[in-house]
Amino acid sequence: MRINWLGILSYSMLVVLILPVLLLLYWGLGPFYDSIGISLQMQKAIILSLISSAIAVFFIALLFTPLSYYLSRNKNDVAETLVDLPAMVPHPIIGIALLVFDSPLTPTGKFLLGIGINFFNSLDGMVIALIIVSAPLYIKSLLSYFDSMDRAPEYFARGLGAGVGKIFMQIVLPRSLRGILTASLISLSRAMSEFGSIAIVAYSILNFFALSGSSAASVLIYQYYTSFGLKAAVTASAAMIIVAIPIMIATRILSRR
Amino acid sequence: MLELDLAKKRDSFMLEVKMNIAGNACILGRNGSGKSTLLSLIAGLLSPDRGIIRFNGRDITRISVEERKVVLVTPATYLPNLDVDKHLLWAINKGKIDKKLIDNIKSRLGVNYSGIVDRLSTGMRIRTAIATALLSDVELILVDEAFSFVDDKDALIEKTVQICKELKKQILFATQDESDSRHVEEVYLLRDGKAEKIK
Repeated sequence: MRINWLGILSYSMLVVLILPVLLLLYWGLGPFYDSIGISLQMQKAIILSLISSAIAVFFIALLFTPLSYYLSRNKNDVAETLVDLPAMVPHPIIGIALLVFDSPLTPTGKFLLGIGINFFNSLDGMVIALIIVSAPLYIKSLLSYFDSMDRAPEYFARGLGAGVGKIFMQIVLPRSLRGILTASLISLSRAMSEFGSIAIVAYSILNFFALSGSSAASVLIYQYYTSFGLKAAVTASAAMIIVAIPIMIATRILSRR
Repeated sequence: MLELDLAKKRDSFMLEVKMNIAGNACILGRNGSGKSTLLSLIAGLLSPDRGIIRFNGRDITRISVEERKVVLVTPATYLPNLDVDKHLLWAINKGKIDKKLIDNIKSRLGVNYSGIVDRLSTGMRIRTAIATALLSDVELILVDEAFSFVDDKDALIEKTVQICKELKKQILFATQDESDSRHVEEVYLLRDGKAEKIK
């Protein structure tokens, strides 16, 4: 029997990749279990992370799908580099940039605050930060999808006299749902794991119904680590992973259909 | 009237043609003779290195694909997510729908089926694409080898050319089969990137 070395090597690397997370689940729910890690505060933090990430991904898909398509059909190295920029800089910089953007000391901040938009410790700020840090992955993923699409239907539609808007809405978008779902899934994962930018701009949310006063899960896990030590942080991390994995698997199955 | 005087280099291949095509025509040529390159240039999907493309007296060399009134039909050119009826109507302005003409073209080209175009056979897709092009306000229809994927090729070419005459459109199709040329007034042989009028 021939041994599939490539398969064995590939799955070994997968194990290496997920081993720390598997061990974290074991320790967090087993020997290191600490009930603080699954307290009401942590549950609210997980819900806040899920809701803010879902809202961010909704807006990312709405706002950046046309950009992904446009960049796919009109190659522009400068624009593609600029798309990568928010992903390339340390994420606290994004948080600081948003604070400056919406500071009462700057003209943009004066304007935004004047019309009632406040990023600091608000859901708006958290969602905007998540959009900025997660959109580059969405755009890159969808851009590759659009690159791989057969363009013959678009050429035909253009030959028939259709403009780019009609072609995008009626021919390209209906054929891109799988690509949009996959790209959304990637940016959802990215948004749910975000820490750096929201730790600065929205450390805790003050204006969101029953979740007022809550922090995102990543921020709260850090808080637990610094306040209660390793065990609470490990259990909280395990709780977050247990919630996130089924959502990711369900979304992936959905995107395959 | 389609007037071409153009050149295009692709890797080591050089296409250099000078043609004045007054009526419906076909281009004969083997694989690699430059048929697809030539049709793509006329459709605006490629830009010539030099030269001019004039259609009915209008210089269309630098005009965008959507404004040329020229469409290229290949086995892959169809709108995959639409059903057949929506496909046929897709390029017609809502106020200009001529039900009688649509039924006439459907019946003559054998578009007697329905369903999402992507799920149809290649031959059915090609019929649908040709019918859509005929119903649109496109004035020049280019067909790149698509006829050869249809079971009743001769009948389809004959009827398509006839409908083009009735609707005052021009058709130019590329083929490797010399017998296809009997349906059109003009025939060109493309060999090593050069065109020669043989009928």
